Order: sequence, then structure tokens, then C-alpha cells
Amino acid sequence: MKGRIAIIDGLRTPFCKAGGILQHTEADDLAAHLINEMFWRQKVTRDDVDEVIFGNVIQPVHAPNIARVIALKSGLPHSTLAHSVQRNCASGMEAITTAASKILGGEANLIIAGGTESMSRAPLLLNDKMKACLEALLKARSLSAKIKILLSIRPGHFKPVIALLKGLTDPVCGLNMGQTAERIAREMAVQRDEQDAYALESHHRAIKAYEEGFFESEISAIAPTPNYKALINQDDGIRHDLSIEKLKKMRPYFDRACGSVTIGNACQITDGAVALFLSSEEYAKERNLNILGYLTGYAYCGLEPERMGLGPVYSTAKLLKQEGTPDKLEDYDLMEINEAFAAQVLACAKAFSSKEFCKNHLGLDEPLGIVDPNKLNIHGGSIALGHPVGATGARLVLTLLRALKTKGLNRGMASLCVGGGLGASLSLEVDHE
Amino acid sequence: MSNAWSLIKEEGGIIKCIFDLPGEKVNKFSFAVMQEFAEILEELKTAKTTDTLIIMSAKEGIFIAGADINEISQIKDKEDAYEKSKLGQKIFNSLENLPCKTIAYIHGACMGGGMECALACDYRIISDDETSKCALPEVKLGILPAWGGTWRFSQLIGLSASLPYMLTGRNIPAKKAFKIGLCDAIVAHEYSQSELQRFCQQIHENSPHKAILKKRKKRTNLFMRSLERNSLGKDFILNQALKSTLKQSHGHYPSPEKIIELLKSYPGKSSSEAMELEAQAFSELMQGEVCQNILKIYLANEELKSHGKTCPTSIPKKSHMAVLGAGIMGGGLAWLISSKGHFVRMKDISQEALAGGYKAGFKIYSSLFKKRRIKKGAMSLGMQRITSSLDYKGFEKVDLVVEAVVENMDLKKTVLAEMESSLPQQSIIASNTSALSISTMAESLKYPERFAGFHFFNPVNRMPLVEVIPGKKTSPETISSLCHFAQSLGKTPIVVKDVPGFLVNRILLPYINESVRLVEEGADIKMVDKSLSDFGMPMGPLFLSDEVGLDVGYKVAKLLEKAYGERMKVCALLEEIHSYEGVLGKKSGIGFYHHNARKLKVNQKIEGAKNRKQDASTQFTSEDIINRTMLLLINEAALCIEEGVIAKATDLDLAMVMGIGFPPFRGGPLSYAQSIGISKVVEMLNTYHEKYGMRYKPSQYLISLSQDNKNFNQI
Repeated sequence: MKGRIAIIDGLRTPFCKAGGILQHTEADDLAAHLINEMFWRQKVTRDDVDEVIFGNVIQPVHAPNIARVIALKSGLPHSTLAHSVQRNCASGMEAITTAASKILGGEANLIIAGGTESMSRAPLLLNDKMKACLEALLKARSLSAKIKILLSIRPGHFKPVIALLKGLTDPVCGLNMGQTAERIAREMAVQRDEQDAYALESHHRAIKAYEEGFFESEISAIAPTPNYKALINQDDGIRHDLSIEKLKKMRPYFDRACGSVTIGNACQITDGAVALFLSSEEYAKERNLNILGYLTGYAYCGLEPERMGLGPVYSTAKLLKQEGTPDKLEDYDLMEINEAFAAQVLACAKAFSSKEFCKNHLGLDEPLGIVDPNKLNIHGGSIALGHPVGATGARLVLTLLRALKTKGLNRGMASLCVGGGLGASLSLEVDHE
Repeated sequence: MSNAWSLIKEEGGIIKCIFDLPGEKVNKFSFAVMQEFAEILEELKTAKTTDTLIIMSAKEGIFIAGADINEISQIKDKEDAYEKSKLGQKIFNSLENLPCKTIAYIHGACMGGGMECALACDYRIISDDETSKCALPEVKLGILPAWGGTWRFSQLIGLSASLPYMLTGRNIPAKKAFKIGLCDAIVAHEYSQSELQRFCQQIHENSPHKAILKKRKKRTNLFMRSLERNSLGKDFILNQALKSTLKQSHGHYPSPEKIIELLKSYPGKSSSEAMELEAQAFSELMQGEVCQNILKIYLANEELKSHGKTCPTSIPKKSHMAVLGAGIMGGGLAWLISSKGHFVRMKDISQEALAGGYKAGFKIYSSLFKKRRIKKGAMSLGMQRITSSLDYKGFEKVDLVVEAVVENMDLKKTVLAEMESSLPQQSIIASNTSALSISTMAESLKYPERFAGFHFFNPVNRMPLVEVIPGKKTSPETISSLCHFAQSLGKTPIVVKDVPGFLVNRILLPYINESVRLVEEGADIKMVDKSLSDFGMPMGPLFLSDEVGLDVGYKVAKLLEKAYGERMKVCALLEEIHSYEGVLGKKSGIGFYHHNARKLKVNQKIEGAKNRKQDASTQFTSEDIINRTMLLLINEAALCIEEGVIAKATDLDLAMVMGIGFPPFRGGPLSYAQSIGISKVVEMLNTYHEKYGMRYKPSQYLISLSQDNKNFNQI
């Protein structure tokens, strides 16, 4: 990248289990809440914002360009631009990197970027049989024809198509995300015991982060619709009573016979949003804004859809080659690899340090480096906190920058595997006075 | 005043008559304007039958706002009223009788006299603009449409369709006006020029013209039309209307009854006979006290509001507001402020408290949504403008903060001092206290000049009054900004002196206290409430106490006792009730009444209270109850004038009507005193003084008024 992009500050909503307390709150309301709150905390005003860019995967039917709806609900002037981006699980990161390239290209000074997802609001659709019936009914002229069509309806017609499940299945390789995790667990020989232990650690780290008050200033409490009865300020996916025994008892979900991936060692389906204020370094410094940290580089990569979980290894290899980013994996003080599945994070870790993998798949003579577990996902990850698909990418950036800042560290890398066979890695950095 | 009207002759025999009152934002019918209109009509008598006259307005959002209410209020007596009515009728009759065809093109509000003018035209065309609406709101001022309006309106759209609009004065939106046949066409204003031309052609051609007239008839309901055709059906409709009117007005408001009576007498009459009756009915109403009282309150309100509008202000149009304390009042304020486009920040000490604020604000939004007063999008935008915080984060952006924490002087002082350090120096601080001293509170502040009292009444969405209270050090700029802001929120600001209880609560409390004392002396709870709601109060004083919250009421009562001593001593029964556990009024489900039961039941615990006289030896009549409570109220009001708590007697009356719902037809406590006769009031107070104690001691001010034989307005 030609320069650093300042990430001035960010906020997120609590991440709450789908079908739970945030189930009636639309994705645009989640995000707008954050922006409205940010304007009370930031020196910049609504008139300063050039564009709003938001990542969102499910794309609610009532808000086709959700970023524009968010911008308007945040009280931004009508003249403020807005557009939405979709790169599946990396949508939140895509919003950030799109903003970065716009700022670097001189198209904008100040951009609000982030991700939002209400997985609760994913629709149930009519199946093809029912759809055909209804279409025929509309075309039918005579009453008898209409009755005939109505009489042909069978219980099977009412079986809905669950949009969320459709979305989690790759249409090309035919595997759902859990099955791709099984695939790479086998490829990298990740055992069930390792996965369960990793999942438990994720919950423990999240609990500890809460005890230390780490998430307090990252989360903005929200009063959920439809009745605004309570103010929610905590993620509700963390399980305090979880034990290794409980995890061991769970049956593999995606491959019942020989699998190792369970509901317990996979990420949770969650509602939530993240918003960040981005500008060029000069813009932020001229206005004397308190800067959280910087984006110094980013890389996306593509690989086989059925091996999508290994995406972070491929994208990170690309990232390390860039100018302005560290050359070695060890140069990063902290790392985030999104926990889509414990199996997938562990598989990535193994791949990073495998000479054979790096040679065969990345054409490198040496392995990329060792992933130190004490530097990886130190405040827990999507297994404990949940994974609102479009929002997580932005959360990783926010959480990682805040972790660097509070721990007095400098460099971090946030990466994510992307359904469909993509990977994303962002290089971040924090200045300390 | 000339040149309010201009005539433009166009091709095709179209004559445009444009109303544009110079120097005003709206078009009004003053008598001078009417005179000029008459001259124009005289000129038009020579028009050809093939010509078309179109009456239209050059004002934004207004067709004709109606008659000039200031002039109406100056009508001297019955004869004057009759003549003014006849004059208007004559002018509109000559409009109706012009040789050419006449059209009213209604773009914007068409109210009262304006609608009567439109009714006198042959055709009415309305634009589908949001501002386009018709109404006959005369009834709200205690009068009736007297320029031929009642006759023409009921003739045009039928008795049953026209009645509800005449009896309530409510708006008829454009689409509705077309649907009920009041208007013959509805057009987009942007295309009005060509649409009007086409319409003019149609009315001069035989068959299209017939089609237009036929459409009028079709739009009214067949069943109702047949009902209206015979006298029995007509009587039935009118009697039903009378019944429901009386149910609402309790017979206190003569004008809806008069309208029904008038319509009853119309069958079989010619238009000139009908209008004669209408003019007489109008003059009778104008002479009545009710109409005079309502007009006075209306004008006082208009004056205060327009004063608020002209006040210079430092608060920007889209501002950042903070509300301290997210209770029912805090949440209500958050609703009010956010609904006008400002960004609101609620601050309280716990998440639960903040959630309560959101809930209270949303409750008002959703009730408005259910009534279709706002759209879903506006509601969601409004709620998004409300944010919350446990600390003072973001307060450096605040333009105005309203404090609404618990009524405790020490707490308020601490909170204010704590907050001031997070605020920029130019932002205004206001306290929504209902009774505590503003000057004392200001002692905790570094910059007291930007601090004032800003007392909203509960529930915020329904009570139109705001007391603005300057402390000793408050700057005039602060007061000016607050008055302006209150007005921009749609409230009526009233500046009162910083005395305990300010104006409204100070006058209200003795009245409530006395009603509890009556119960203490053995009066029946329901009887007390019924007597006073029959008197015209929106609810009885005991029910009101339940509604406000007995703990809140008690606190204020104690405060006033401390400030005013013996005169406002809290009665023993109220002290006893205060000691009961969980008897807090409506919010706890039980107070003077059980509120959760399906039918309202009296709380027997209070009926059998220790401090209540249990033998039924004293009988209380409604008159006793009204006199005992109202005399205290009047006396306290007079004391407020004497002490200069408020400058004008009419403003005091207005404040009591808007603040506690003192019956508007009685014109407020001081007008009511005047109607009894001030010497009579003093005489009664003297008697009661001897009988019941010093709280009835007549104020010096009342005594001197009665000695000089003066009334309140002659100061």
C-alpha cells in the first residue's frame, strides 16, 4: 500500500445468538445504532463523512443497498454516498479494504466502514413445487382450474427452503461449510481431541477477557426492538459451564460416521454489527483525532472451494510479500485467524509451519513460520463469541487493534477463511506515544 | 387594506381571482378583506355566463386560513355578531349568484371562512398536496360556521356525512374531501394549470357537466341517503349525534348542541331562511361566556407561541440534546426531542434505568404509529436518534441538557456540578424540576447564567405547557433560547417566577390537598371525583393523584408546606396514606382506587383509614366540594398575581387550562372567579375562613379588587 490508513475508532454491538434477544432487530438498525453512538464519541461530524461502506452477506429483502439505509438511519446528510459489499465471510474486511483503496485513490477522506448481519432475519423461502403452484394459480382463468390447482397442493409443498442453510452450502463443490472443515481436518491430520481442547480454550479466553473488562469499551449497549425492554451489553454465546467432557460427548454433526467437527467446536450462528471510522493518516493527524491504529496492507487469495478453510495460509503468504508489511510471520505480535471451526484454525496453524505444505501449495522453499498459540486469538474467537458472517471481518480488525493498543504491542495480522474458496489477510499496526 | 385580491383574465373566458394578503404568511378574511372581495364580486357581475371564475391562493401551503380570529374576539355584542354574520352571508351569496361559473381551487389549508367561501362556489377542485385539507373548526372556538357554512355544507354532502366534521372541527384530507363529494376533482398541483383548463371546458359542455354533478351524488352512501330523505331518519341521525356529543361535552359546550339544533330546523326552509337562523344561532353563541372564554384562551396561546417563535436562540436546528435521568419523564423528553430531528443522549446510573427511558420513549412512538400519526420509517429514525450512556461521554457536543432526575435538592446539585465539568461553556442547562428552587440549584454551578428551570408536564406527549423559570442569575439569552426551543417542540412556553411549586403546581396542590381533606372529613371518594369532573376537570383530583403517583404528589406537597406554612399544611389522611406500603397510585396498581381491576374500585383501606371520620354525620353536596376546592385554587391564583409569579391574568388562566386541564369553557380560574363575581368570592372566602381555618383567608389582592369593583384584566 502507498500509505497507512488510519482506523480512528470503532464499536460493535454485542454478538447475540441467532433466534435470541436480537432476533427482531434488522441488520441496518444494528449498524445505525453504532454510527449514531460513534458521533457522540468522535470529534468528526456527520458532514465530514464522504461515504458509508458496509459488508453484509444475507442482504435483507427490505434493504437492497443496506449501507445506504444505514447511512440514512444514522442521520447522515442525503449527499453522503453509500454502498454495500459482499465477499461472503470476508464482507466486513472487504468494506475496510474498499474504503482503504478509495481513500488512497483520493476519492474520499473519511469513510465509515464495517459489517452487519442479522442471521436471525434470514428468510424461509417457498420450495419450487409451491412456487410453481402459486404461479399457475395466478395464470389460471376459470374457477375450476383454480380449484384444481389448489387441490393438487400436498404437505410436501409447505416444506420451506431455509435460506441460511442454502447460503452455508457451496453450490459448486456441493459441500457445506462443516464438510469442508472435515475435509481439511483430514488433510492436515487434526484430531478431535485437539479441536475440543481448542474450542474450550476459546471460551476460557473470552471469559477472561470479560473479567479483565477488555470488551467493555468495544461494545455499545443496544436496546433491541420490538419493545426496547432491556439494554444488552454482553455477548451471549460464551458458555461458562463448558467442560472438555461436555465437548467430548457431542456427536460429529457434518459427518456422523467418521467425522470430528461438532457443534461445540464450530462457530456459533449470531447477530451483530461492527462499525469503524477510516481516513488517511494525514487527515486524522491534521484534525488531531485520536487514532486507534493503522491498516498497512491487505491480500486476498483464491483456492479450491472444498479447501476454503486454508484460505488464510494462502492470503498471508501473499501479504508477507508486499511492501510495507512484515516479511516474516514471527514479526507479528498478535494474530487473529477467524474461528470458523476449531479444525480449520488448527489446520491453518499446521499448514503455516509445514515445509511440505508450503512447498507443494505455495511454492515456497521454507515454511511460512510457527503460529504461537499465545499470540493467536488471545481474547477468544467466533467459537465463543459467535460469527455474524458479514460483521466478523470487521470485528477481527477492531479487536486486534484494541488488543495491540492495550498490551503495548505494535503489529498484528487479521485473517479469515471465506466460503467459496477465498482467503483474506490484513496487516495492522499501532503507534504508541 | 387593499390589493389583497387580484383578477387575471386569461384565454377561454377564464378569470383567475388570486388571494394574496400583503405582509402576511397566510390568507385571512378580515372585514377589510371581505369588503374588498365584495367590490371584486360587484365588478364580476358583468361577467358572461360562458366565463369561469377560479378563486385561488398565492400563499404557500394555505388556501384561506379562515376569518381573522382577532377580529372575531372584538365583536361587541349580539347585534354586532348578527350583522357580521349577515354581511359575510351576503358577500358569499353574491359569489354564489354570479352569472359565470365559479371554481375554488384549493391548494393548501382551507379552513373555516375559507371553506365557506369554497362552498359558495359552484365547484371545488383540491390538489393532492399534503398541505391540502378542508375543515370547519369553528366549533373548537365555541362558535359555528356562520357565513352560510352549516347550510351549504350539509346540503352538499348530506347530513350524516357533514355532521361529524362540523361537530368536531376535524380536518378533511384532500383524498377524503374528494371521496365524500366535497370536492369535484382532485389534481396534482404540478399539473393544475392544464387540469383546471380542462375542467373549465367540461363544465361548459352539457354532458361532461352532467357527469360531474352525477358523481357528487354517487359518492354518498346509499343507506344514509335514504335515511336522510325522510324526516324520521333525519331526526334519528341528529338525536344520535346529540347523544354522543353530550357524552363528550357533559353539556358544558353549547356550540355542538347549537349546530345540531340548527340542522334540525333546516328541513323545509329556503336557503335565505336557513341563513337567517344560522346568523341568529351564531350571535347567541358569540354572546355566551363559553365562547368568550375559549377565544381568550386561544388568543393568549397564539400570542405566547408566536412570542416564542420570535425569541432569538443559540440552539441550532439540528442539535445535540442530553437528558439526565431516563425515567418516564426522561424517556418522554427523549421522544419529544428526537421526534423533532434532534439527536438525544440519555444519561442515567444503570443499564436498567436507561432501558426504562428507551421503553418510555418507544411507547409514545408506537402509540402514535398505531394511531397512524407517524410512519414506520419516521419511528425507526426517531428511535435511532436516541442513544444512551452511563457516563458523560459525548457531553462536549451537547447544546442543551435537561435534567430530570429524582426530586431531591442535594442530589440535583451534585449531578449538575458533576455534569457541568463535561459540558462546553456555551451549552444551556435546564432543570425539569416541578417545585424545587432554581436559584438554590444554580449555586452548584460555575456558570449559573446559562441555567434555568424548564418544567414539562406529564405525560409529555399530551401536555402542551412548559414553565420556563429564570433563577436569580439566569441570563435573558438563556430564557429566550428556551422559549424558542419549547415553541419549536410544539409546546407553549410560559415564563414564571422562581417560587416553590412555580405557578401550576403551586395552584394545583392546595386544590388536591383540600379534596383529600374532604375525604378525611367523611366525603365519598367517588363523589369528590365526580363532582369535580362534572365541573369540567378532565379527571377528579383523587384520580389525578393516583395518575401522578402518590409518592411524587406527597413530596411536592411537603415541599410546599415547608415553603408556605399553615396555608398548605398536608392533611393528615395524606400523611397516613404515605405510610402505607405499596400504595403509590396507578404505577403500583393501587392508590385511591384499584387500577388493575376491570371496573374501577375504591380502595377500602383508605375509606377505612384511621384519620378519616367514619360517621356519616356530615353530608357533602357537589356544591360544597366544588366550593371548598375551587376557592382555594382561586385564592392561590390571586396570590400568584399579587406576588408577580406571572405577569398577566390571561396567561395564568392559559397556564392552568394547559397545565392541569382546567375547563377551557370556564376560561381558567381567574375568569371563573370573575364569572362568580369577585366580591362574592371574597365573601365566600371570609365565611370559609371562619369555618375551616386560615387557609381560606382571602388574598389582599382579591379584597382590593372587590373594593375597587375591578376585575383581573383591569390592572
